[in-house]
Amino acid sequence: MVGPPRWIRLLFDDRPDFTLFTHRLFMKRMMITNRSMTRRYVIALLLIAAVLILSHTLLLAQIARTESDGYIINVSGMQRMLSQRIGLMAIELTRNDDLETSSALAAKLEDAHSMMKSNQSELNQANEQSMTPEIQDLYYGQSNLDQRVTDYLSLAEQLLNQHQQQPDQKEQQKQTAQKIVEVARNGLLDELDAVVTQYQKEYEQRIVLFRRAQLAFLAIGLFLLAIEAAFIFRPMTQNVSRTMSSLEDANAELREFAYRISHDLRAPVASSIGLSQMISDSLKEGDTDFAAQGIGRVQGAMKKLDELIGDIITVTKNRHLEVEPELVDVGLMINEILESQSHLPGFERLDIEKDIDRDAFVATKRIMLSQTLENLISNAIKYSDPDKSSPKLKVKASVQDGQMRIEVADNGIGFPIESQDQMFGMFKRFHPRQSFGSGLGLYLVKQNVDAMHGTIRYTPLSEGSSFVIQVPQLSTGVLS
Amino acid sequence: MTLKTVLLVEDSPDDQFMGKEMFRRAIKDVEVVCVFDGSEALERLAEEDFRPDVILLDINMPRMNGLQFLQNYGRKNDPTIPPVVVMLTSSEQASDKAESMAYACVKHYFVKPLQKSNIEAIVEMLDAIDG
Repeated sequence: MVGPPRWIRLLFDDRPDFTLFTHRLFMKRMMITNRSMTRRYVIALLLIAAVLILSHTLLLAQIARTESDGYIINVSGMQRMLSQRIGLMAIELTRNDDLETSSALAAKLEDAHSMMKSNQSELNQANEQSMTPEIQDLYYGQSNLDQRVTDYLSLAEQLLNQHQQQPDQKEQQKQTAQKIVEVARNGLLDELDAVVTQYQKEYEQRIVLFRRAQLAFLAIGLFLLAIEAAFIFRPMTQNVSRTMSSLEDANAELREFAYRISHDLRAPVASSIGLSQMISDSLKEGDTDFAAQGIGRVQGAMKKLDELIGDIITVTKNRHLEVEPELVDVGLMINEILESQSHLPGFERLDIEKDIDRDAFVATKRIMLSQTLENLISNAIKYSDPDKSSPKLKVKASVQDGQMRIEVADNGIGFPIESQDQMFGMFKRFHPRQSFGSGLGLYLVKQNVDAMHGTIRYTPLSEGSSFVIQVPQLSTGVLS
Repeated sequence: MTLKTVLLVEDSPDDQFMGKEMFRRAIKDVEVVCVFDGSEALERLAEEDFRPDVILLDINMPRMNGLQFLQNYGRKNDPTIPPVVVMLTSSEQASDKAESMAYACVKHYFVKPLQKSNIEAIVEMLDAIDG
């Protein structure tokens, strides 16, 4: 069957496009963020809207109240004026003998009387709807202003009747007018005045209350905004900038990955194409020795390519690998790794020192720990110092404060100081004359250590290097 | 002119082997000096009696890569220094090509593997420089 090579299928089997896959992963995260952001926004806006609506309703109610308060104050003020007018008209009516003038005065008195009467009924109606104890006391309490106004109006009515029916009986009218004046002087005016003052006072109190309520709403609104800024908008912007920066990192890594892959995958292929051409030329010339040498090199290049592809597959797969933690016997794992590495050139010369605690067990992702140790140990073998007669490897495993601590140290060539900050980067190689690696080994190590929630530290030694990894010894429920 | 000495800056032993062999087959008595990275190249070029006719420079190398080498070497802007020919691994490396061709000392670039025609182009280029 003709198709893409096995490694390509392995890499992209379950994901037609690596970029697309990563893109989807981020889209999913972004959607979750979007949903929770929208929810928070809606809550924040609803709270502000509620405060605004309440404040507006209060304002409308207060406007209506002010209108009715103004009207009542006006009417009660009019009563005070009308009571005086009635008294004045009554006196003048009785003093006047001119028929025409007295008719005009009587008409004025009647107007004042009827207006005062209709006002009284309006005030009674308004008081029925709402009234404070003070107003109730004034109108219907001990002093019984309402009754006194009614009596006052009856006297005025009586005077008008007398004037109409017996215009000549001035003495009788004078007596009635005298009574009217007496009632007015005897506290009616003062009490009508007290009512106006009381209505005015109540209105002012309500305005004070309204101002306080508006202030309270303003304070609540501002407080809500502050709370929202602290607990909704701030975390939201932080969340967005975090997501953006992790997206940028991922994009940069992806670009680097694509660039490096295009380079590193082609390098051995280009070498092999050139070598093959030369082999072909040599065979034509009958130089089989050169051809054999060339074929050896092509094989070497292909082997290197195969290892690189293997590493890329591991890195890509591990990125999305879900592994359950399991109990790992670290000593046993180290022995197995050393056994598997024994074919590497130089292994037989290696002086191995093992110091493994008896309780070196850890519950973790087995494959990740195994790949990590394999990489560190094989690096120690591959990058041994060619100038030293005995390459050394020291592996130490112990449990400290709930952490599994594993140290892999060697007396090899170490890392150049200036490149130490990039040592865990993708496709990083540091040794021009000994760089048989893919440049992915330590990147994979770091990726795995992160996946195990552990840490890795590199320490340059006077001769060689030391890597210390620490992973939490217990994962949930595995040992129970 | 006759091409006598080539400095090949290349970390891959296979490409070093191939480069040496290609030059040996194309030009009689040419010496191909191989170094593994930019810093080794700078060291060799600092030697007074070492004067290659041309430098073949790989870009992707550990420790000091081709571009870092050019930052050091190309900065001199001296028209008498040996010219550089950049070897790209892949034609996708457009930014590497642009960055290296910006140096006056870089006269040419090839995409690997090195071909007979590339060597002919180098000889032509050197003749043109000599006028």
